[in-house]
Amino acid sequence: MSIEALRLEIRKAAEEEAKRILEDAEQKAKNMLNEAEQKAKNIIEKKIQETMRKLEEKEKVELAIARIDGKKKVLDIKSKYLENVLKEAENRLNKLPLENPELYKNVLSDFIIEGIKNLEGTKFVIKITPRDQSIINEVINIVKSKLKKNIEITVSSEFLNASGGVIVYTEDMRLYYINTFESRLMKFKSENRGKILDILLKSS
Amino acid sequence: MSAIKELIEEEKNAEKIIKDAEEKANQLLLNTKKKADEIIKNAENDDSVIKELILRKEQEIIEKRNNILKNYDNEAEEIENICKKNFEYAVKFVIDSVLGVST
Repeated sequence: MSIEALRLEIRKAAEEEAKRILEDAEQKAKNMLNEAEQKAKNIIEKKIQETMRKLEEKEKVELAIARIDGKKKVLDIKSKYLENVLKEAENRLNKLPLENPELYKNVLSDFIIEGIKNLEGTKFVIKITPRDQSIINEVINIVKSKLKKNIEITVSSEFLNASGGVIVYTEDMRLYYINTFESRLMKFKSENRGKILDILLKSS
Repeated sequence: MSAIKELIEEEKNAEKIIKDAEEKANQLLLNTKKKADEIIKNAENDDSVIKELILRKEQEIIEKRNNILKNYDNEAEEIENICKKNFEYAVKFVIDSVLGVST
């Protein structure tokens, strides 16, 4: 082989080696960029997932609060009307003895009869409101005629602090039956809130 | 002797060609490494996608929340109207029950 041929061979080998080195480096660089881009994509994906998880958590909480607020609003309306009904009923009951005395006499006689039926004996004492003094004799007569049995009713000298109704005592004052508007309304309220609501919410 | 010198010279040239290529390759890898690091750093620091996501999702939450509240508002209004309509009857029911008679 001539010197020139050798020289060319050496140069060619060097250039090929240089080419291989550069190609190798280019491939490595390409891989490096691909890996970096994949890593960047993963970082962004992870951030998105983490953010979505937090946002979904936030959504659940906020929507749950909104539902609670909404339900409370609906419940508040129901409660407001229930209380208004009871308040209005109480107001009208307070006025009833004056506005509808005939009805009240009947009601009072029935209240006394109910008290008597829940106690024992034939002699009773009743406690009434000061306002009912003027009608009580008439009411007692109605009671006697309704009961159709021999009973004795005495009116207590102490007055009842109520808007209407009566307390019926046994003769010895040991047993008694409270039958005032207030006691009946209180009992009714505690037992019938559901029924009142049903009436209030009846849609047809 | 001159021929050997020429060959030695050529060897040196060849070494230089390879060395240059190695330097070029190293520089390329170095630059690429910097670029790759920058790509990753940008991904770590760039919150524009997240900000947009938060904005969009928060808007969605607000809309859903408003819809829920609106539905309950409608329900409350409907219930209020029904209650108004039945109010007198309910009062009468309470009074009649307390009195034990029908008024």
